[in-house]
Amino acid sequence: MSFEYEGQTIPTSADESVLLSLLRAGIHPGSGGPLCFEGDCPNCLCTIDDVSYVRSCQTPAEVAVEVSPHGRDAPPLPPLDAGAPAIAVDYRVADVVVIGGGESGLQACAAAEANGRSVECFDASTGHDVVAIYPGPLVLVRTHGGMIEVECDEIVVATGAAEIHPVVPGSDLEGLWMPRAARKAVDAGLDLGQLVSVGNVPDALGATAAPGELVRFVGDHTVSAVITATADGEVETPCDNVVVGLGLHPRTGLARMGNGMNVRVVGDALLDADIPTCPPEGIACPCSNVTFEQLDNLHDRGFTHMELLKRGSLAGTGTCQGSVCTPYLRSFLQDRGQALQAPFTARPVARQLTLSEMAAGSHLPKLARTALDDVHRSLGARMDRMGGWWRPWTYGDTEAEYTAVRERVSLGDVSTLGKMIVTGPDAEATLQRIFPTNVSTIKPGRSRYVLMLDERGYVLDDGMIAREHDDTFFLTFTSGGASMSEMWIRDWSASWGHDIRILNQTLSLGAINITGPKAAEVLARATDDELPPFLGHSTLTIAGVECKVFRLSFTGELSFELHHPAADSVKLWTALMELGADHDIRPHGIEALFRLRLEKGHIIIGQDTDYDASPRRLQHEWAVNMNTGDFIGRTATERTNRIPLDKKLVGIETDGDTLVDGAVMWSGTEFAGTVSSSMWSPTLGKGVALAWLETVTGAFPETVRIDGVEARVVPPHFYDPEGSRARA
Amino acid sequence: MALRIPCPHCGTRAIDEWVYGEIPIVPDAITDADARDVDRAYFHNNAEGVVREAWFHLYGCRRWVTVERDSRTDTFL
Amino acid sequence: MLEPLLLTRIVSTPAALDTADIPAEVIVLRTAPDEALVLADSSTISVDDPHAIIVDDTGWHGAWMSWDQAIPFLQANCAWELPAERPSMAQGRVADAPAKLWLEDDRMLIVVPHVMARDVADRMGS
Ligand SMILES: [Zn+2]
Repeated sequence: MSFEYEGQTIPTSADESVLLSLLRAGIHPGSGGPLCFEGDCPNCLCTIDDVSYVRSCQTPAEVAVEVSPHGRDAPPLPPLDAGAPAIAVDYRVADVVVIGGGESGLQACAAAEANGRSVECFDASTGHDVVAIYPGPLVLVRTHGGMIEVECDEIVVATGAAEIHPVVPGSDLEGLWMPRAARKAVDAGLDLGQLVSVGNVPDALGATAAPGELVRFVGDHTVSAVITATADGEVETPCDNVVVGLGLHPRTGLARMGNGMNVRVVGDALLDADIPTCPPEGIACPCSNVTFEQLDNLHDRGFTHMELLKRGSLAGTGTCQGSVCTPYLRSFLQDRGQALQAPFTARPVARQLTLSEMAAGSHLPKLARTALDDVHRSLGARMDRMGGWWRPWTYGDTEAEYTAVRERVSLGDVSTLGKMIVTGPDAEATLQRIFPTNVSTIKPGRSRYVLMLDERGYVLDDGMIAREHDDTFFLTFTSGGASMSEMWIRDWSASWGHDIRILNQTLSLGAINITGPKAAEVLARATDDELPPFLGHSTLTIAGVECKVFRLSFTGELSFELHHPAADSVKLWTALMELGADHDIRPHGIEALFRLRLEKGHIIIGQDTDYDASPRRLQHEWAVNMNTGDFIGRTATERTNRIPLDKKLVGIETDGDTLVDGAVMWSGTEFAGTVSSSMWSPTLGKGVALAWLETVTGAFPETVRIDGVEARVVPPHFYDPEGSRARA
Repeated sequence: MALRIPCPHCGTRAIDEWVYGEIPIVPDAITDADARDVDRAYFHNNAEGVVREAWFHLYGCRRWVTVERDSRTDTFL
Repeated sequence: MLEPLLLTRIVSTPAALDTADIPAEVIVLRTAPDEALVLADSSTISVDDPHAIIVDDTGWHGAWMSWDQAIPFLQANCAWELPAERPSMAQGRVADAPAKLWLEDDRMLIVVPHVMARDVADRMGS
C-alpha cells in the first residue's frame, strides 16, 4: 500500500494516518508548527485527492491516493467541483448520538444501550467527523464514503480536551510535538533524536526537561533549540525535537453548537480549562495568521469582547475554528483586566466541507411534467421551466403558432392550471367570502373570471369559478398559484368553521385548450354532444374521453378548455390533431400564448402584477362586486378606494417599435413607471404593452417616452376589445 | 434540513416538506376596530419565545397544522 | 418501473371515511383524516356522506419494491423514518416527490404523482 506525495511514492500500512506515513518518510507535510495527532490544529493540513484543507492526521492512509502539501501562505484553491461525483447521504435515526469514542464516550454508549436506547457513536479518529449539529437535533457527519445525517433525541458530547498549543515565536518550526502526539510517534517507532520537553510532560517519554517557562523556539525551518525563562534568566536548550505541555482546554465547540438543544457533555470535555500564559509576541491564531500585536491594536480600539476580537481580527474563523487560539484570546482579555470570558459562539459547520459534501442529499428542485411532456419534445418543442413545470416555450415557429390561433385552430397544453373541487353544504358560503364576486348568481353550468384577494386587498391569484351543481364548484387557478390557493381556501374555510370538502385535482387532470375560429368546428367532429355557450361548461365525451369542457378565452379567440383524466391526455391530443389536420391545426407554445393574451390585455399574475396590485390599480374593478357581502380584502378595498389612485396598469402603444419588458417610462424628466409585458402585434401593426403607469405631479401622463421612443397611454385592450371573437 | 416539524397525521418531517403560515395576533392594546383591521392586515408578529403558528404539510397530508415553536431555540414543542 | 395506477380519491367526513364500504383486500392510503387514496376503481366504494367526493384518479404512478430494492433507495432518497408497523401507510418527501408508501412485511409500494414519475424512476435506477 502506498500513496503519491510530490512525485514520491510513500509506503503506508493499514491503521495508520497519512500524517504518520509522511513522518516515517521524513516529511512534515504542513509548513511547520506543533503536531497534535488529534485534529485540533491546522498544522498537518494537506490536499488529498484534490480536496484541500484535509487534516492528514485524521485521514486513514489507505483512502489516500495523491497527497500534496497545503502551504500556509498560499492555500491551493479547491478545484472546480463540476463533474464531482454526487455524495451520498446515509439517513439514520437514533435515540442518542455520542460524539467521541474515548473512555467517556464508550461509557455513555454503554449506559444508553443498557437503558434500551439506540445509539450512534462517532469518533473523528476513525474517519467520522461530526461537522454540524442543527436544531432537531440533527447531527451531520462527514466520512470518507459520504455524509451521515442522524436524527436523534439526545446528543452526548464526549470530545475530550485538546492540548494547548504553543503560540510563542518559532511555533511554526518543524519538530514540535504535543505530548500525546509525541507518545504516538514514539510508539510508532519514529526516532525523535534529542527530545527536549517544556512544561508539563509525562516522564515516560524520556525527554530531557528544559527548565522554566517557554519563551520561544529557535531554528532554521526545523527547531534546533528551545529558549526558556528561569529565575536566573533565559536558558537555551539544544534539541532535535521538542514536546510541549501547556495544559488542556476542553473541546466544547460542538456542545456550544448544540446550545439550547438536548446536549449533555461528559468526560474531559467538562474539564475546567487551563488558561495559558499569553506571550508578549507571536501568532495567536495560526489559521488566520493573527498576531498579538494586531489583537492589542484592536483591544485599544474597544474590541474588548471575545466576539468582537474574533470579528475584528478573524482569529478563530479559520480551519481549526478557534481550537488553537481560544485559550489565548481568553487569557489575552484576562490579562487586560477582564473577567474570564466564555469561548465564542459556535455555528455549523465545524470543518471545511467540499461543495459536493455541502450539497449532498439536496437536488435541483424537481420540475413537474405534464402527461404531454413526451409529445411536446417529439414535436421539437423548446421546453422551459415555468412555475415549477416543464412547459413548451415554442415549437420552433412562434409566428406560425400565433397565426394558427388567430386564423385557424390550435392546441395548447394547459394541464398545469390549478384545479380544485369544492363541495358541501357551506361551499357557496366559503367561496362567497374567498372571492370578491357574487357567487350566488353563478348558475349551475355557468362560470366566471375571479380574482382572489388577500386581506390587504391585493391580488393573490386569478382563475375561473364554475358551478356544477347547487353545492359543487370547480375552480381553476394559475399554474404557479395552485398550491397557494389550496392552502388559502383550506385555511380560511377552517377558520370560518364551514362544512365543505376540498379536492385538489391539479395533478390528476390534464387540460387541453383548443382555440381559434375553427375550434368549435373541429371539436364538433369529436363529439355528438352539444358544446357549451360562452362562459358555460358541461361534461362531454370528446374522442372517447370524458371531459369537463369550459368555454372561455385567454387568447381572445373562440376557446374550449378540455379537462380530462391525466392518463387520457395523449389520446385526446392525438385525436384532436388528426381531426384538425385539414385546418392545418398546430400546437402553440407559451411564447405565442403570452402574445395572444397580451393583445387582449389579459394579465398574467406575477408578470403584470406585483405584491401590491389591487383590482383598482389593475383596472379590474369590474371583477369586484362591492354590493355583495363580506369578502377577504373588502375592508382594505374600501379604505384604499378613499385615497387617490397613485398607479395603474395601462396599455401602451407605439407606432413602430417593440418595447423591452421592464423598460422604464418617462414623462419629461420624471419617472412614470415600468413596462410589464410587451410585444409587436402583427395583427394590429404596432407595438403594444402592458405597463404600470404612475402619477407625475398628481396626474397620469397621456404620453410617455420609453428608451427614446414616444408612446401613447391607451386602455389595456388592444385586440377585439368587444370580445366578439371569443363569444362567436 | 434543520427544523423538524411534527405532523399529527404523518409524523415528524424536515422543514423542506412544509410551508409556513403566520397566525396573525392583534395586540389587545389596540381596541379601535379599524385599527385592529389595519394591524391584522399589515403588521406581522416577530415574538421572542413560544409562538403559535400554522404550517402546511405540502409533501404529506396537505393540511394545515397548528404548532408551537420556541423562537429562541427553533424547537417545536 | 413506475406504472400508471387507477385509484379512487375520496374526500368525506373523517367518520364516514372510517366506516367506508371498501372491499377488505383493497389497499387504502389514508392521506389525511378526511381524504383517502384507494387502490381500486370508484364503483366498488361507497361512503356514508352525502357530500363526499369520490372520483377515479389516473394521476398517480406506482411501483412495488422488495425490501432489498427499497432499503438502499430509501436510504439515499428519504430523510425521515418509516413507521415500524406492517402493513402501514407513510407519506412524505421521497426523491423530492410527495410520495405515499404502503409498507408490507416483504415489500413496499411507492405511489407518486405522475408528473414526477419519470424523475423518481431515474432515482430508482431504472
Ligand atoms: Zn402531514
